[in-house]
Amino acid sequence: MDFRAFFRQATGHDPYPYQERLASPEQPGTWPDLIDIPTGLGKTGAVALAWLYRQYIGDESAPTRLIWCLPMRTLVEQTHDVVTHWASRLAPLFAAAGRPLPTAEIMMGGEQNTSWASHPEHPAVVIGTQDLLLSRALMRGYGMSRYAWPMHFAWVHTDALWVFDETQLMGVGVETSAQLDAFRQLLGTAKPSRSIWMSATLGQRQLETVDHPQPAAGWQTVRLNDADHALAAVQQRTGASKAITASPVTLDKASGKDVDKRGAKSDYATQLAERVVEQHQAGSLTLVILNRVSRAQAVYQAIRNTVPSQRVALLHSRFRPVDRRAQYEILAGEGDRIVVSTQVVEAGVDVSARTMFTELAPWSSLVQRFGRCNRYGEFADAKIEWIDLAVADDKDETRLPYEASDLATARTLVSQLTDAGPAALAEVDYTPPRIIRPVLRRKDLVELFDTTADLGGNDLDVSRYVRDEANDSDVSVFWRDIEKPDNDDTRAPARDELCSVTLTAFNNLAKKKTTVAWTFDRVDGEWVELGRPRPGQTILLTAVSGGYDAEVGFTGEPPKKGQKVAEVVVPEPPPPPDGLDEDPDSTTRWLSLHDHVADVVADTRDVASALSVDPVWSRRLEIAANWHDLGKAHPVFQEMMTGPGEKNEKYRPPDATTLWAKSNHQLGRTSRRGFRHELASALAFLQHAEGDDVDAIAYLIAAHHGKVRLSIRSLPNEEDPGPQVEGLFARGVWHGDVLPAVTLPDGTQVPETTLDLRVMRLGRGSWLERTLGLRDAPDIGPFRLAWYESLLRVGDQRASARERQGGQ
Amino acid sequence: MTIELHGCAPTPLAHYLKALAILRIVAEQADPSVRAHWNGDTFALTTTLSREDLVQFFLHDYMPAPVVAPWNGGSGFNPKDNKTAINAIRAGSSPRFSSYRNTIEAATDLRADLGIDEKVSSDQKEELLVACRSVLPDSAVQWLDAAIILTSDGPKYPPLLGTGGNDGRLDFTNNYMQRLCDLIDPESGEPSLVAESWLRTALFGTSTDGLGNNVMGQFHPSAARVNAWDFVLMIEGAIVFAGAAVRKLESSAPGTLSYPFSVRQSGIGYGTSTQDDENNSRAEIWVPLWTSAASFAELQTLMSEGRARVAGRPVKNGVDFARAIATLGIDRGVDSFQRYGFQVRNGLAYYATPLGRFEVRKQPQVDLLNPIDRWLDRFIGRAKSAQAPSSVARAARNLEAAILALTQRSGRRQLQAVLASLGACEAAMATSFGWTTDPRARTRPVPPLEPQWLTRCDDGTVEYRLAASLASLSTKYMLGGKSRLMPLRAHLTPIDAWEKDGHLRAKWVEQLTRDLVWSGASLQDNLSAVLQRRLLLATQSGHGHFVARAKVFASLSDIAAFVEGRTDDARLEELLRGLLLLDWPAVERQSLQAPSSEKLSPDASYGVLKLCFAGRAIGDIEIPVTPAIVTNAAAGDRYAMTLALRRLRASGLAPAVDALWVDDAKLRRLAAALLFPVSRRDVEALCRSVLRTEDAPTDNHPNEPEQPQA
Repeated sequence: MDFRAFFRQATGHDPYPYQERLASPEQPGTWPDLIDIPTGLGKTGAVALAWLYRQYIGDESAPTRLIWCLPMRTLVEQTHDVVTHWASRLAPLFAAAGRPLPTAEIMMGGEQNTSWASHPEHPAVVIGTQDLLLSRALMRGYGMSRYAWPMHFAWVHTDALWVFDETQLMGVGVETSAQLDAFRQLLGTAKPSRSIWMSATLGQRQLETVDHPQPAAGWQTVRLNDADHALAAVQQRTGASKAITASPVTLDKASGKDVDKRGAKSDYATQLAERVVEQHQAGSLTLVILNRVSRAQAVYQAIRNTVPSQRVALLHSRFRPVDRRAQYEILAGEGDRIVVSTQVVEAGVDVSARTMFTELAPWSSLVQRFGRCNRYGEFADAKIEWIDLAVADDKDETRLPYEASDLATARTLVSQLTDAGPAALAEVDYTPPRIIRPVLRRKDLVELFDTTADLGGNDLDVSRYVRDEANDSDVSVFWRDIEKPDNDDTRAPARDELCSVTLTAFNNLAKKKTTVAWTFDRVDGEWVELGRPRPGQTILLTAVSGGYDAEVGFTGEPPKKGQKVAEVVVPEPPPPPDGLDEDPDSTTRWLSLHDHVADVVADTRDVASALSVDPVWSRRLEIAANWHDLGKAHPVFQEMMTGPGEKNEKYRPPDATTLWAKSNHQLGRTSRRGFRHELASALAFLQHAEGDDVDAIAYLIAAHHGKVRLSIRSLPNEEDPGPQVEGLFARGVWHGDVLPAVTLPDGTQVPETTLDLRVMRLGRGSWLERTLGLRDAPDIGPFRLAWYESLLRVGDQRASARERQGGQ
Repeated sequence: MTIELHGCAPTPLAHYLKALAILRIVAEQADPSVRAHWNGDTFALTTTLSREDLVQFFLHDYMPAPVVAPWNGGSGFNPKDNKTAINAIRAGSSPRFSSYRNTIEAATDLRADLGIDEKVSSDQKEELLVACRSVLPDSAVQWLDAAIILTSDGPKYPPLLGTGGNDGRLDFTNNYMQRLCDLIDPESGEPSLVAESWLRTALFGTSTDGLGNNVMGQFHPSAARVNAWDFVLMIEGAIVFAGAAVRKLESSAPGTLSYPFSVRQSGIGYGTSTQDDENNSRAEIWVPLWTSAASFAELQTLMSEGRARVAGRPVKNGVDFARAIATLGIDRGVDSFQRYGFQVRNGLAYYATPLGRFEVRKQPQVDLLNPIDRWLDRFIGRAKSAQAPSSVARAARNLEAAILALTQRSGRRQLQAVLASLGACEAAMATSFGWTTDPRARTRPVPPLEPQWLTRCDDGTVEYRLAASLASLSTKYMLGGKSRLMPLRAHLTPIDAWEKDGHLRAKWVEQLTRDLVWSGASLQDNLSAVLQRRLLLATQSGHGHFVARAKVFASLSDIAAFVEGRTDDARLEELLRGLLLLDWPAVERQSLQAPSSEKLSPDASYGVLKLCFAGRAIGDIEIPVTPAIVTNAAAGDRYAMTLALRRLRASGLAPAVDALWVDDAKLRRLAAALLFPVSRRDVEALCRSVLRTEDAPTDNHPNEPEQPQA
C-alpha cells in the first residue's frame, strides 16, 4: 500500500503534497531538520503518519520511538487524541501486514508502568510536555523514581525520532534540544536518533547553538511548494483574512482609573465591556486578551453585568488549577461565548475566534494572539480590534508587564496593518531582540550522567535547561477551612489547591485584619504564623481570610461577611516513593537464586536479540545477567528471605539449603540499613573476572536497579560496622563480608568470596576510575552506557514480572 | 615512573593549585594514564613521562587554558585596558594558543553582539556572563565554571577566584596572559629564554634567580617576586575547582556556598583569630590531600563530592566542614585537609592564609551533635548576625571553637568543653531574653542532649559528679491544680519543661516567673536560693515532706569536698549549666563512680541538716518541710541548727547530740549543700552517724533499685 492510501485510511482524506514528500523522501531513511508549515495544514499528520508508514512498511532505518515534545499539557492531550485515532484506524493494516501496531502514550509523571518504557523494542509514540521529556533527556526525569532515570534517559536518546512542536513557546527548551541533538552525534548512540523542529514561526537562531551550528547547506526544511499552494484548502488557510482596526476604546490614566480596584466602577472596563458585547457575533467565539489579571477580572465582571446569561469565561494564571479547568472547558466548547483572558491564551490553545480584542502588546505576543483569530480561514468576516495603551515611559505602570519600548515598536507595526492574516504578517519587517538563555554544555550533560544524589539526597536541578525561568517572585497560596493548622493533621497542599500569586498582591491581602496566614517551617517541622512572605513560599490561608473566588480567581479582597473560600477536595495522596533500600520486585513466590538468574539470562538475551545488539555487548550482557544477583547469596539478604519463616510457618522456605532470590512475603527487612545486593554482586565479579570487559560487565551488574552506578559511597544513616572494616562500608556491604560459593546458570563455579571494598577509595583500579573510564570512552560514552545498562534492567524486570504471574 | 615534584606543596595555596594544574594538564594533553598523590608534603606524579619529558612537554607542547574575563575591567577587552598580552595572543599564530585565540575572538564577538564597547555595566554583566557560558568553546567552560556561579539570584563568585577572576584591582586573567607571554612566544610557540630555568624551579623546587617582579594575589601572600610558571599554573589549578558545574545549579540553602570544599569562614580555630576576621573575611577552602595515586577524572569527581554535608544539610562554615570531612575522607581515602581562609588583611587585596592541617579521623563523639544540628545551625547563624548581643555572639564563638577542637581530638575534656559551651549559650540566650524570643526570629532553648553525654563527658572529677547530681534533679509539683515538672534548669533559664514519651521537652516561658532564682551571685548562694524556692513549691503543693527526685545521687564524700570548700565552684557551675541540657527523663538512674580512696563524709552538722531535707521519707517517717532552717542557714545564723535538731526530735528522730557549733561561713555552705540529692543508702548512713542508734530506721526497702552498679 502506498503512502497516499495509507494516509487516507488514517485520516479519511488525501495528503497534501508536502506530506507525501516528507513520507517518501528522495533519500530513503532521512528526515528533515525543520518543518516550516503554517498552522492548520496538518503538520502533526505529516510527521506522525510518515513515521507510522515507515513502521508499517518495516523500514529498519526508522527509529522505534517517536517522541513528541510539546510546550503545554493541553497540546499533549490534543496530539495524543489525534494520533490514537489514526492508529486505531490503521490497526487492521498493521495486523494484515503482520507488523506490530505502534502504541501512543502520554508521558505522565507518577510511577505507573508504561509499556513504552518496559518494551523498548516495540514501536511507540510518546507524547509529553517539554518538562517531562527534556528532564528525562537530562537524566533527571520529573515526577518519576530516580532509579528509573537511566532507563528513560536511554530510551529517549537511542532509537528515537524527536519532534519539537510549537517551538516558539518552548523557550530554552529549543536550545537544550539542539544541544542534545549535537551531543548524540558527538558522543554516539547505540542506534541513531533524529530531531525535527516544527513551528510556523521558528526563530532559527535558537537552534544554532555552540555545538549545533547550521550546516553549510542550511537546515533541511520542509516548506510548502507550488503544488501545495495550488490547493484551495491551502489557500484558504494561508490566505485567511483578519481585518484589524484600532478600537475606539483605549486605556489611559483617565479611563483606566480604578480599573485595578476591585468593585470600583471603571470607565475602561465599562466601555470595553459594552464594545465587546456590541461587536460579538451571536453563535461564535469572541476572545478579549488583556495584559493584566486585574483588568481581565474587571472587564469580565462588567460583561457579566451586562450580559449575565451569556456564556462568559475568564482565563488567567491566578486560578487554582481545578477552577482554571472549569473556565477552559467553556473556551474549548462550542457555540456562543465570550472569553476574557490574559496572555495565557497566547500559548498553545487550539481555538479560533471570529472576533478578537487585544490590548497592545509586544509584537511577538500580538502575532501569537492574532493566530487565535480565524485560525483555519473559516470566517469571511473575522476581525480584530487592538486597544491602544497610553504609555509614556517605563515609569508608567500601564505598561506592565511589558517594556514601554516594546509597546512602542509594536504600536508602530500594528498601526500600519489593515489585515492580520498570515500573508500580511509575513510582510512585516521585524527582527526579534536576542534573548540570552543558558545553554546546556557538554560538561553539564556528562556530569548529569551520574545519578548519585549528594549525601543529603539532593539532586541536581536541571530546570534552567528545561523551561525559561518562571516568575519566581510569586508565592503559592492555598485555603483550608480550619482555624489553625495542626502539625500532625494538616497535610501538605495538593497541586490542585495551589494558586500562584504575586508577592505584591499577596502582601495587600496579608495586611488585612481578617487574614490568617501560616507557613510550614521545614527546619522545625511545624506550622508557624507567617512572618514576612518570601518568593517561592507556600502559604496556608484560613478559608475566612478570603482573597479568592472560584469564578474570578485571586482577588485579594477580604471576604464578604460570613463567606469563606471553598476548600478544594483532593484525593488521597500517593504512597511515598520508592526508598533506597526497598526492592519492590523481590516479592513473589519462593524462587531459587539459580532459577531466577536463569530467567533473567533468558529474558535479557531476548531483549538484546530483538534490538540486534552487537555481539560484544550481547556477550557482556549475558555474563552480567549471570552474575547480577550473586550478591543475594549474602547472608544479610538470605536472612531477610528466611527470617519471617522462623516465626510463621507460612513464610518458611520450601527447603533450608537453597539460596533464594525471591520469597513469598514482603516481611523481611535487611538487618543492615540500605543493603544493596547488586553492589555485592559487582564486587564479587571484579574479584573473579579478568580481561578487557571487566569494567563494563561489573558496571552492568551494579547498575541493574539504578541505585549503584558511578560512585560508591556510604550513606549518612548507615550503621558503622566499627574499626575492623577500616571505614570501608557502603550500602550495607562491609569490607570482608563473605559470599558463599555459588554455581551460576552458565556453569561458572564462583568460589567463596571475601568482598574487598578498597575499590571505594581513590587510586588504581578504583570503582570511580572504572566507571568514569566507561562514561568517557569514545566508543561507549553516556548514551550507549545508559542503553546497555537499561537492557539488563528490562531483562530483569520482565523475568520478575513473569515470575510474579507464575510463568517460567 | 614516579616523579616527585618538590615545587608543589600543600602550602601556600599557589603551590597546591600548581600540583592540581600539573595533574590536569598532563592528563589532558600528554599522558591520559597519569596519576598523582601526596606523599607527606610532596606531590608525586606517576606517569609514562620521564622527568625530562615533563619539562620538555611544558616548554614545547603545553597548550594553556583559555582564561578570559571579558566582563571585568582590566581584562584586556576594554578600550583603556592594558592590551599587550591579549593582543600578542590574538595576533600570534602558534597552534599552542589556537584554543586561546578562538576564545578571545568568540568573547570579542559576543561583546560586540551585545552592544558592549566600553566597560561592562552592571546591567549588562549578568547577560554577558550567561552568554559567555553559552557560546565560548568547551575549553573555556571549565574556567568559567571556576570563576562564576550562575544562579537564579544572579551570578555568584566562588572565593578562590575573587570576584569573577578579579582579586581587588588585580585581574587574574590579564595577568595570566602576560605571564604566559613571558614564557611562550604566541607567534612561534617557542619558550622564552628564562622559561626553562623557571620551569625547573616551579616543578622541582630548585632555586633560581631572576624571577619576575609580579604580584601573586591571594594564593601566595608572602611571595613578592613571582615565578611566572607559578602564576600560570596556579590559575590552571584553580580551574580544577570547577568540577561541580552542574551541582551549583542546585537550589542552595541560604548561607551556603555551592562550591567544592568551600565554606564561609569561621573566625576561630587558629592562633590569631578574632571576631573581626569573621566579619571581613570571605570564605575558607579545605583542600584534600590524598595518598593513593589517583587519576585526574577521579580527583574531579572527588571535587564534585566536595560539597560536604553535616547531619544532612550542606556545610556552612569551617566548623561544619570539620565535622563533615570524616565521612568523605574515609570513604575516598583522603587522609587530611589543608584549611585556608581568604581574608581582608591588606586593603583591597585578599590573601589566602593557611589555617592548619586537619587529619581525617572518625570521631564518634562529634556525632553526638547531629541530633541537635538543626538548632545548632540556626542558633549559630543568628548569633553571628549583626543584631545579636555581644554576649550571645561570644558564647556562639566559644561553642564553635569547642566543636572544632572536638573534631580533632575526641576526648572527654573536649566533649565536656562543648557541653559547657552549650550551657553558656543557653545562659547567654536567657540573659538576652528579648532578642532570643523576638517573634520575627525566635531562637529556641538548647534541645535535650542524648543521655550518652553523661557518661561520655565524665572525667571522674568531684565537680563533674556533683554537677551531674544537681542537674538530674527534677520534681513534679502540683501548682494551681496542675502537675508541673520542675527540673533544676528552670531556675537558671526561663524555660517551661514537660515530659513526653519519656523525653524532655522545653520551650521558653511566655512570662517570666519567680522560679528563675539564679543570679550573678556565688554558686553557694544560688544553690541555697534554689533550695528555698523548691521548699516553697513543695509547701504550695502540699507535700508532707521535702521530695527530691534525681537520676544521679551525690556521694557523701563529694558533698564533704563541697562543704569543706575543696571544689572548684566556677567549674562546677559551668558543668552544671551544660549538664542541665541533658534529656534527663531518658537517662537511666545511676551513680557516677568516685575513686574509692575518697571516703570522707561530711561532719554531723551536715547530717543533722540533711535529714530534715533528705528528699525522701526516712523509714516511714516523713519530716515536714521547715523552710526556716534553710533560710537561717543561708543567712549564716546558727539558729538553723537549733531548729533542725528540734525538727528531728519532733519527728521522733533523736539526734545523738544536743547542740552543734558551726561557724556562719560553713553554715552558708551547708545550706547550699543540702540541694545535692543523696541516695537512700546514704540517708541511712547519715541516720546512723547522727541519730541515737536505736532511732536509726532499718532498711525497709531492700529491693528498691536505687543504686545499680554503673
